[in-house]
This record gives sequence, structure tokens and C-alpha cells, in this order.
Amino acid sequence: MNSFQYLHPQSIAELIKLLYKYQEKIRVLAGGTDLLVMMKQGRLAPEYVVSLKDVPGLTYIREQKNGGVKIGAMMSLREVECSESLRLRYPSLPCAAGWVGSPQIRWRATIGGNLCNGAPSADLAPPLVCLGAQAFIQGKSKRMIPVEKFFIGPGKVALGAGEFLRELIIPPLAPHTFGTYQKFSRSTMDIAVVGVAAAATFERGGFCSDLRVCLGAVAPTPLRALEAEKLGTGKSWTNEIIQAVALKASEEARPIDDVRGTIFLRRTLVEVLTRRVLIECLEQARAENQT
Amino acid sequence: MPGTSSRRKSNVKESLAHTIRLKVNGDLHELTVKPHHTLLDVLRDQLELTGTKEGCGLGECGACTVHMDGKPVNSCLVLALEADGSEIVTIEGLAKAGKLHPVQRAFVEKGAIQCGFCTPGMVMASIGLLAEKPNPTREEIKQALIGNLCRCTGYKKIIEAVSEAASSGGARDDE
Repeated sequence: MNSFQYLHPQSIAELIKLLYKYQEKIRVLAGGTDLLVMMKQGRLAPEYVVSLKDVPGLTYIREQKNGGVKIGAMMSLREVECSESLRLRYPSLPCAAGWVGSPQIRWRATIGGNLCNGAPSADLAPPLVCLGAQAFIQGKSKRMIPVEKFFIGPGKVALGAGEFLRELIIPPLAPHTFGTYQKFSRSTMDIAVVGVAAAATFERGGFCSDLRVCLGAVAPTPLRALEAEKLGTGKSWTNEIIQAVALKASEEARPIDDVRGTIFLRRTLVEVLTRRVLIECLEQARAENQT
Repeated sequence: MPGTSSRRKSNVKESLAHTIRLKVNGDLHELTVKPHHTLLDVLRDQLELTGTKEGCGLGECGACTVHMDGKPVNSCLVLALEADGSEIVTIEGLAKAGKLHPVQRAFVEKGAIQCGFCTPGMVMASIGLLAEKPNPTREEIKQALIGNLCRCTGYKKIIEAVSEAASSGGARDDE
């Protein structure tokens, strides 16, 4: 690893000052499970590394009065995975967090880091997009953007000079909304060949009044399958409808061929995984009806 | 070692040395480290605790697993500076008064060791699991050890050893 200057601000104000001062020469260190790998491999060689370790107030899961949840960017993926509160309200997030790396990785990796790397395969992105989560970004001023708009391209996110991702804000869900995430990877430790999340709101029976589907690792950024969502919304779900949504999602995917999989494999996986997550949403809804 | 092959010259004048305090296996140490030193570097090179191994250096193999504030982490992916003020337990810190930790003993008794290179990491990861789940299923053991590679392919015995340690109360003897 190249040498670098290590900075450890003790406040958000100090952090922003440093980010603004060094701009492209500085990288933010959260859990380090991606950054240090890239630095060791020589893919990144920042002059300055700024650690969030001593910046107070970035590690929490806070239930909101309106039923939503706020998650600090430094929350470890292991804590997201094990959070009772999230398991009850937003089970797709613990589910996605549990898919990342090993327990050792998940104890260090953070939810903020998972997004800020800008990987098209980021496991937390599809469920956050489906939940309509907002990213709270702070620099010289504060702003909020949907997580969906946070991703710009491979490795590129919507953080400007002097800005960092402080918090994720997950809005309250409509009653009877269910969601999940599924991933296909070559081994449990590998990144997604394809990941698919869905969130579906049901009225009586299997009537779906709202559906969101987000695909990971099949486009330069996590991708909403908007046409597929339309096909599944405002309908009572049957096998035929679920199949049509899955097929449309695979058409909307824009995958590439790479070492992890071909375009054909990825499109096929989008279809299979979309079908599975939709069926799981429906099963969750049916289980709720029975209790 | 593949992880640190490209040690190019930095354009930063000279990265400053920092002083950190680490409690390792119960002993407090004050150490001078450079920003690019990992926790693994410090444990092995400065404290000469060479039980913790470096395999891939990239967080894939788990040979460097130690406990940091009670949680299993890959010490190759933790900067020494990030560990400042924390409490570390390594494989050397497990045996008490000359008696092996129950998980270590189970590894020996079940023949879960071949070349031994993965063993310290396997043991630390297993203890991390048993602290959370004293009676894990076979599947839970496999999931907990997913980030620990054994190239002698001794997984079967390793899983048996963790089961054995669990049923004989291995979790209760945790640090």
C-alpha cells in the first residue's frame, strides 16, 4: 500500500473542511473493506485518507414517529443485518446486508460505504431504491436526494466537492407493503452477478396497488424496472402476471458480458430472481392475511 | 504477497508516524505506527504475535481473523490507526493457564487441523459465532466460516469441531 496522510476529524464540521480542502486528493475511510483492497491493489492511491471513526453521530438506527427509519451512514452491515427493528419493518435491508461478504467483512463494512463505492452490484442499493429511501448529503450545505439518483455510473456517485453521505432516510411504508432481495453470485463471498429487490403493496387478495422492482449489476447503476412495475401494478397477481413482470424486467436490464457472467446469463437471472422476489412478496402478504 | 505488490513512491512528503494504544490479549501497548500499517502488520511485526496469519491480504481468506472489541474482523483490512483504543484478542490470547480454549481443544481432538495455516482464523471466527449463537446448526456454522478458506479441504472436520465445542459449552469459555 502506498503511504498517505491519515486524518481523523472529531466533528462533522472538521470533516467537511478537510473534504473541501483536499477534494480529489482525499478519500473517505468508513469500514475500509473496499477502500483498503483498492489501495493495496494499487487501483487507488489517495494522498489523504480521512477516517470517519471519530466523527460522532453517524452510527444509529432510529425509528421515526411517522413510522420511517433513519440509518447513520457508519452503521455496520452486520448491525443492519441483525437489527430487530429493521427485520420487523424493512426486512429487505437485513436480508441484503446478510448477502455481503463474510461476517468479518460485515462487522467492518458500512451501509454508507456500500453506496458510496458506487458499485452497480451494491447489495444495499436495490432494496433502498425500492423503499424510496433518501440520501442525506452534507457539505457546506445539506441536501437530500433519492438513493435512486445517488448512483451516476460505475464508481460514480452524486457527491460534490466537500460533501459526504451522512444518513439514509427510509420513509414509512404504506400498510401491507412487503419486500425482499435476492442475489445470485458465484460464491457467497463474491459480488452479485445479478441482484433483484422488490417492494409490493397489496390490497385484499393478491391485488397489487403498487410495485417497485430494482435490479443490481445489470446496468451502470442500480436500475428501476419501470415497465415491469407497470405490468404488475393495479392487478391481482396470477402466475401469468408474475411471469410477465419477470420477463419485462429481464428485457429492461442492460447487462454486460464480464468474467462473472454473460449477457444471456444475466438476463435469464433477472427473470428468475424477479419471479422469486415477487412470489416471496405475495407469500409474505398471504402469511399476514392468515394471522 | 499479492496484496501489497505495488509500493509506488508516494507524492506525499512523508506520512507521519502516529502513536496508538492497543490492548492486546489483556496487555496495554503504546505503539508507533505509519498510516499504511494494518492491524495485522502491528500484531505480527511489532508485537511478534505471529499466530495470526496473512493469507490473501484482501479480506477473502480469513487467516488474519482477530477479535476487535469482541467482534471477528479481518485484521488485514483494518488500519492500525483505526484500531486505536480498541481491545484485540488474537489466537495467542485464548489459552488460559496452559489450558486450551474449548474451541481449540475441539479442533485438536476432531483432527480439524492439517497444515494449520487457516486454523487461527478459523478458531477466532468460530468463537465469534459461538458468542452469538451458542448452539449453531451445521448451516449456521458454514455461513459463519464462509470467509475462512482452508486449502487442505478440511472443512468437514472443522464444522464437526465447532459443533463439538458448542455441545460441550465452548461459548461459555469465551473471553
